[in-house]
This record gives sequence, structure tokens and C-alpha cells, in this order.
Amino acid sequence: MRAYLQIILRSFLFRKRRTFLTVLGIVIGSTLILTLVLLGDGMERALASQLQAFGGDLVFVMPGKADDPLSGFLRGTSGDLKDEDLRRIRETRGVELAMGMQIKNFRVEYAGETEVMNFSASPWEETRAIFEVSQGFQIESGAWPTRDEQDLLVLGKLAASDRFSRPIQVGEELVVSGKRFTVAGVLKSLGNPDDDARAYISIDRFRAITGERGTVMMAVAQVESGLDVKRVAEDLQYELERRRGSGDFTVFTSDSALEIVGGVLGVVKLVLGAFAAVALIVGGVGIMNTMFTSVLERTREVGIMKALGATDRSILYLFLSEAGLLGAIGGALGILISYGFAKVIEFAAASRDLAILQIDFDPVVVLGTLFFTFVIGSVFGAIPAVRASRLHPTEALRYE
Amino acid sequence: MYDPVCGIAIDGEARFASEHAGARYAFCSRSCQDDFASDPARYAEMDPLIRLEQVVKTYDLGEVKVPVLRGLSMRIHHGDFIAIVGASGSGKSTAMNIIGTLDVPTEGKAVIAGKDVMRMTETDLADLRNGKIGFVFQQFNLVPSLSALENVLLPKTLRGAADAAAVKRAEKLLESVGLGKRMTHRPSELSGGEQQRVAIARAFINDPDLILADEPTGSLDSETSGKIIDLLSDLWRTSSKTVVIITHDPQIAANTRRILTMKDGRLVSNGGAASKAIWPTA
Ligand SMILES: Nc1ncnc2c1ncn2[C@@H]1O[C@H](COP(=O)(O)OP(=O)(O)OP(=O)(O)O)[C@@H](O)[C@H]1O
Ligand SMILES: [Mg+2]
Ligand SMILES: [Zn+2]
Repeated sequence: MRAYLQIILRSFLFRKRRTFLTVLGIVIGSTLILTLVLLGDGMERALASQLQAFGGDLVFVMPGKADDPLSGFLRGTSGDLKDEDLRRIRETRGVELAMGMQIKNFRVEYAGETEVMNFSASPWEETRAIFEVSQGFQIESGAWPTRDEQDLLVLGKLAASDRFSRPIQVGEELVVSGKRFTVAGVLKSLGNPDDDARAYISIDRFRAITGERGTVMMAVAQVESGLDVKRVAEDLQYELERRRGSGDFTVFTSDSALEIVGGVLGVVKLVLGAFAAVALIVGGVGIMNTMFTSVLERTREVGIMKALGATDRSILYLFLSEAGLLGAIGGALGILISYGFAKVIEFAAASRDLAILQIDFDPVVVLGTLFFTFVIGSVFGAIPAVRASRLHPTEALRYE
Repeated sequence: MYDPVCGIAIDGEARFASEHAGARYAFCSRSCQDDFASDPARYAEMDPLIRLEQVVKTYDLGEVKVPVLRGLSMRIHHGDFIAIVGASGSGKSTAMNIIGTLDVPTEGKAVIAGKDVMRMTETDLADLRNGKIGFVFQQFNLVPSLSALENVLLPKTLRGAADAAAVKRAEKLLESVGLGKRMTHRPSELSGGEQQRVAIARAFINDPDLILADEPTGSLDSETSGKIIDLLSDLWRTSSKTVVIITHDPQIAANTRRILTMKDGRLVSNGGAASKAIWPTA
């Protein structure tokens, strides 16, 4: 193999354009596969750690079919959970606490500026109990409000410091959707820009602003410590289904959410994987085609090499290695491109404080890819290589 | 019985015959007899480098069988400088392919460098070609993607033996054929004469016993031809190699040591054909 490297590389350089075009299919295929492997793993890890921060002892209930959880998120479902559902959730065995939640954007005026902010609304007492315990909310300055009917709000770290040209202090006034509110507290950073940019009000004030009544878009239940979260979630599912008479809602825990998202990722991986496989096969056929052309064009060259003492076997190895190298060159380019891709995405994620998405340079993946693409190349190059090795020296030398 | 000098089969009563060391030898011509007399030990006691006996080569074209060699018997001795001539289609190139072990006879016996080619495997034949035979073709037959130096090295490279010493030798050879300044050029960047020099250098890289040149000047103008032939005869004179040139040019043939004439797939008696050059004194 090493002995032929020079001959092979010269031949590639001699036919640069064809070499490049041949390699393209393998480049696309291996780029797809590698990007999948690199990003897929990074993404799963990132998601897992995000969902863990969600709180392992919480059960979430949302309107929308269980087999279609994403569309529920995406539609931003109209509150379809009734106060009565909430009461049933509270009464379910194993539920320590439960609250209804609304999420909505409001216009906020402060110091002569207007900005749109994302609000989360829920009763103060439960909010504090659930978020402080399960999600690690902590007040940095000020204090949690205690009475729901007061016009008070709590700001995330970024909501207070970043949205307006002047940072907002505890005790100052904001106008939310035309109503005056006083800032009761500012939270410590949660390490996630989406959460940190949010503002919190009581569900009572939310209803006062919007005029909505009696429904919420999500319920959050905290499971009594020591109980199996999954079991309680199953009980909740059963109780609610009985009350509502249908299963048009979704109960999930951070674990089951991870499963669902993982499942979606799996499907995405499968589809991209299929594309990659097709690209690799197309690439392999391209190599076969190029090798057939090459063997035909270089018939005389084969004759020369045989006259100079090349055995059938060495001609076979020469062309097999050449086809394999075509594959491996494609694989090497695929490695470079996909690491480039992955690094760009990692950088983009890091600049949004999502440092959890980390792509590692894995020598096993690199060597595996090179080996795999080499094998693809030589497998598809096998028939042309056998054909070349069987050429009769004098016939080959007579070939014009 | 075979003429010990040129190898032609002698049937019946020989017109030319001699005794040597108690044995009787028959010759096709006075020329062969004289040659034998001048150096009987060389012909009588040494095995010839090439010995063809009753070689038949038939090309099977499906419906028809084309007989090209029809009982070719021929001997070429170590260190000789031979021209093979004959009409187009007389089988010269076919004979050369068999001598060069690129092809095997349909029938008959071919012993090259002491080895019976009919009993050799494909790998053995390849080894024989690689180590003992250097080819020079009419079409130069250089590998277009390789530089002059890489072409000269190719017989080494194919055996994984292109080490520093081999590179040195290849450079020396290229210098000796006057291409010291062209080593990195590709064939397409060289003239016909230069390409043929590269091919000659390549033929010498493994220090073979036999140089086989099939119309080496067939694609060159007469001036360049003269230089190539001068180069080949110089190399013959200064090495102990056996050189066989197939040619249509009587002048080239006249400058070799012996002319073998082929007709209809056989050697014709070189009755009277002069062998002009003398054995090298080395
Ligand atoms: N592979 C082959 N298949 C069929 N016929 C062949 C083949 N090779 C050679 N021949 C035929 O054998 C005959 C002798 O060919 P060869 O090439 O040996 O002649 P030559 O003496 O070298 O002629 P020239 O001087 O033209 O080179 C020709 O008639 C040729 O057509
Ligand atoms: Mg010929
Ligand atoms: Zn004779």
C-alpha cells in the first residue's frame, strides 16, 4: 500500500477535477453522518441538563394530545385547563402542591421606554414554594410578594438589568399593559437567558390585566418527597381523564419530556442517517464509475506495469487502494467540514450562554470515519480493480 | 538438432558442420559456423540466455485461429547484440512478447534465463520480468502521471523497493542518458527522443540481463533515431547486457553483432548475413 501511494497520488493530481467530483458524494455522506453524531450527542446532553434544571420532582399538565406534545408547545395553547381540573390535581394522592400557570407577552413601560416582555403568572405562595425548591429560584434583592391581589411583580436578573437602558431597581414602578406595578424583587441568575429575561406576576393580577377567567395553560404539581414521580404522574393522568372524560391533555415529568424530545431527536437522526446512507451509496457508485473509466483509460498503463514486473495481485491492490483512498479523502473532507459546522454551532450556542452544547474532537470518530470511507471506496472499487488485474499484458499494451 | 549459434532447427544432412571437444555441431550457414569457430566455448558450453524450440503461437479469434509463430526456434547468447528484422506481420513482436515473458507459447519450448516459461506461475514470470528484463517500446510507454524520475523508479516502486539507493541509481541513469535536468518533467513535457531516453533508463534500473527493444526508433525522426541507437549500443558496449532490437531499419540492423531474420513466424537462415560489430572486449 505504501509503495503504491506515490503512483496513486500522482494519478489523483493528474486527474484533479475527476478526483474531486468523485469524492464529493462521500464528502456529503460523511459530513451528514458526522454532523449527526457530533451534534446529536451534544444536543442530547444539553437537553438532558436543561430538563434536569426543570425540577425532577415536578409533574406538568398541559392541554393537547399526548401523542402531539410539540404542537401544544408551539401553538402556545389557549388555556384549556379549568380551575376544576386544578382542584382535582391538588386532591390527587402524592401531590404536595399544585398551581396553574399562564405565560404571555406584555408591553412594559419604564422610564419613557416601551419593551415587550415575557411574563409567567402563578399564585405567589405556590410559585415561591415550587420554584425555590424545585428549580432553584432565589431572590437577589427585595422579597417575594405574599398577597396575590397586590400590584407587585418579580423580575428575572436579565429582565431587570438588560431590557431598558437604565437597570430597574426594587421599589420602582413599571406599567404593564396599562397597569401600574411595583418591583418587589429581582431574582438571581438561573444561568439560562430565557428564564432570566422573564418577569413574574400573580395569576390574580394576570387575570386583572387580561380579563381571562377560570383557565390556565399549564399546571405544575410538586410531588411529596420520597414518592415515585412517575407513579404520581400516572395517577394524575387517570384522575384527570376521569374528570374530563377524555385524554386531550398531556402529563409529563422532566424524565418523560426527555424521552419525548429524545424520541423526536431519534426520528430526526434516522431521517438524516438515511440521507447520509443514500449519499454514501451514491458516492460509492460514483467511485465505481470513476474506477471503471480509470481502468479503461489506463489499460495501457496496466500493461506497462505488468511488463515492468507488477503481478496481477499488485495491480489489484493498486486499484483497490486507489478506490479506498478516494473514499477516505471524501471522509477526511467530511471530517473537516462537519467539525467546522459543529464548532460554528457550538460557538453560536456559547455566545447565547448555552455552554452546555459542547463538541469534542474524538479520535475514535475520526479514525472510524476514515476507515469506514476507505472500506466503502474499496468495496465499490473491487470489480474495476479485479478487471484491471486480469488484463493480459500484451493485450493491455496493444490498447489504444 | 539445433544450430548452436542462432538456434535454427537443422533437419537432415547439414551443409555446415564442425567438431568441438568430441561433439558434432551443425549450422544453418557459413556465418554461424564461422562465429562458432571464433569462440566455440561460448556457444558449446554455456546455456544461451534465450532458447526457443519449435514455438507455436496461435491467436484464437473465435471462428478462426491465426497462426503467427509456426515453429520458431532461436537462440540468443549472453552479452550478444541482436537485431531481429523481417516483414511486417512476420511475428517479430509476438516473438519478443514470448522472449519477454509477457506471453506464453501455445506450443513448444521457451527457456529464458534458465527458466522454462511453460512451467512458471504468473508471479514467477512477473518476477523474471522485473529482475532480468528491461523493455523499450516503440510508443515509449511511460506512465503519463509520473515524472521522468518516478517512471525510471517504477520497477522498484512496484516492488516496494524505491529506497534512497534506488533513487540515486535512477538519477544516475537519467544523467547518463543526458536528462539530468529533466527529472521532474512529466512525459508530456518531454520530446519523443527524451521520452525514449527515459524508457531506456527505466529498462536499466534493475540491472537486467536482457534489454528488449521493439522498434525503439519507430516513432522518432532519423536524427533522433541515430542518437537513441548510439545510446543503446554504447550501453551494450559498456555493460555486460544482452540487447535485442527489433527494427525495420537496415542501417540499425547492420550496426548490431548479429541479424536474425524472421519470415512467416520462423527464423530464416542468415546465410551470409554479416555480423558487423565485434564482441565487446570488456
Ligand atoms: N492479439 C492478437 N490477436 C490476433 N492477431 C494478432 C494478435 N497479435 C498479433 N496478431 C497478428 O499476428 C501477426 C504478427 O504480428 P506481430 O505484431 O508479431 O508482427 P510484427 O512482425 O511485429 O509486425 P510489425 O513489423 O508490423 O510490427 C499479425 O498478422 C497480427 O495481426
Ligand atoms: Mg511489431
Ligand atoms: Zn545459424
